[in-house]
Amino acid sequence: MKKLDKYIMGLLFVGALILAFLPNKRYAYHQIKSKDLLYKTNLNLRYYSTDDIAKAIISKDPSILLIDVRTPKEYADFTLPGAINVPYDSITNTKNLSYFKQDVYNVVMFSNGSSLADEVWLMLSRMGFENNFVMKGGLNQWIETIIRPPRPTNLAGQKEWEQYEFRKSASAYFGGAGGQVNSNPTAPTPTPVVVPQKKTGSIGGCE
Amino acid sequence: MGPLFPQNIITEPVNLLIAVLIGTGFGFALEAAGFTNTRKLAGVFYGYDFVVLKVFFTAAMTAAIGLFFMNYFGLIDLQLIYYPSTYWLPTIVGGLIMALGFIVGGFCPGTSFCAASTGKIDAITFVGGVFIGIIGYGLVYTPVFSKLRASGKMGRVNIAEWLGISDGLFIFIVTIIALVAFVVVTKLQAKWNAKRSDEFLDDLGLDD
Amino acid sequence: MDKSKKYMNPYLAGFIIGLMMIAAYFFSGEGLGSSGAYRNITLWAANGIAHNAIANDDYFGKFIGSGVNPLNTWLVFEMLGLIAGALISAGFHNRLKFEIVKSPKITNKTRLIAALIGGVLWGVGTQLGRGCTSGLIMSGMAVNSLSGYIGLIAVFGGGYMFAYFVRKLWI
Repeated sequence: MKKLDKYIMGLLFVGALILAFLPNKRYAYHQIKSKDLLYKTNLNLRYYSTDDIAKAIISKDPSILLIDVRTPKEYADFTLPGAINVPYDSITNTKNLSYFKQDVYNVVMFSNGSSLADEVWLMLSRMGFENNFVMKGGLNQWIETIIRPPRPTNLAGQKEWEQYEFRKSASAYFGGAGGQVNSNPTAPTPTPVVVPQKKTGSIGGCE
Repeated sequence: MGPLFPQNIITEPVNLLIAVLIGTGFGFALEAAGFTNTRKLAGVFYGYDFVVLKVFFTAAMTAAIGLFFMNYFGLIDLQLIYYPSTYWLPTIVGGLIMALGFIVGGFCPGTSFCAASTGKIDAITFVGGVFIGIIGYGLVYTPVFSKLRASGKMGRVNIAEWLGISDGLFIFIVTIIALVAFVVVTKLQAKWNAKRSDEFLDDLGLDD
Repeated sequence: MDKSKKYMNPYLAGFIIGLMMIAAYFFSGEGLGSSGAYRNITLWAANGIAHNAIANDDYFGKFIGSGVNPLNTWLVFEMLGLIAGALISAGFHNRLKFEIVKSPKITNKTRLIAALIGGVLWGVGTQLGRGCTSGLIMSGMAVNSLSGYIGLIAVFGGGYMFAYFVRKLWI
């Protein structure tokens, strides 16, 4: 063996030896630049309207995953059909994080108003996760628009009447007839297993 | 810090320029090691020239050790690189087909490209063959290959994680195996080549 | 002239390639490869000739995407560099000439037919296996991917399995 051979082999050996004792280092998230985050926030692209969500639930849209970020007690009292509960203070548990880290579903979070869900969205975006959205106005808006839709005024146009008709039938679907809000009678439909997928920054390779 | 392009730290034109530079280094090393010569390449399977084993494992382990060190010190975030998905079945079948191609044709796509650029006519033929193979594959894809190609999906699997050990420990084990292999094959090659003609050894640039 | 100076020390060559692999991941986020470039070149040429057929094709359709030129990818540019590097090294070592490299025991014709068959097999194998030795195996091993190691065993194991039957080509 020549000297160079031994030198390189020795280098590999020492390097690998040290590496053997180092623990795994997996960055759970990467920092998004604040400039980008501000831009994203201002664009307001994160919002789904209550109408969108009503349509998604009725049509059993499989690409939407509803997540109630309030406390478990509030969740048990009333929630949207099919929503799962991930309380805002346990978002960062690795088990729960997998809901937000994947790129299969669009996650729509909601709370009573908008502010709690918005804060969670901000936190998740800061960690670099995409595919997370907020239902605008939260459950308060839900009740005001879907469960008890306001009757359009005489000045309203065709579109608003159509929207009202949709909301009225949605309201009936959700058991809101007569302005009564029923607590969720059945347990949410079992959500399919969300496979935690590592977020990668690039698509490429030999594939 | 890294990877730079996925985080838009460098622009695409710069990224592509760097690709050319990296390719140049790669091509230079391949040619310099003699990988444009199919007899040297096939030697690993017959025991007269183990250059492929030495180059390949040194390269893979250098890269692995380097990357995982950099990941540990924050110089690169391995979560952001293109991480391949594992499809065990088509990889095995494809691998066997590639193996046959290797032992018959003597090249792999990368080395053949280098060799073709330096004038090796058999390499040019080989490169043509690869294009034909790809077109043929596409033509009969739906009836013949589509099911196989999509089968065996395991997602992105890290082998160390899969085995339940740390990345570093796994790399260490493979490195040790490689280093032992280097010593062993060097001895074997010398022993077996003692009986070969000088002309044969000269062709392949081997010591006697 | 010392015969052993004809070729670079294999460990050194491997070390350099390893460094190139690290650079590839560090700058571009992807590893070295080559079969992807072959596919892209094929796509580009076929797209130019028979665009509709390609765009609607079950296999190739998904690589064409929204009008993105398949030649405008990292791998294709890496291959350009490959040519340059090979030319420089061959020029430096006086290996730049048109020739057929083969065992003296077989004819040129045999060698060329074998090369063609080998190429076709690689064309099929790389698409099925999602890569070649550098892209699938080496780049995979560099990041501890299971796919790389499966590829390693399949390709090199397979090589040893088939070697005996075609030994006349080499020894």
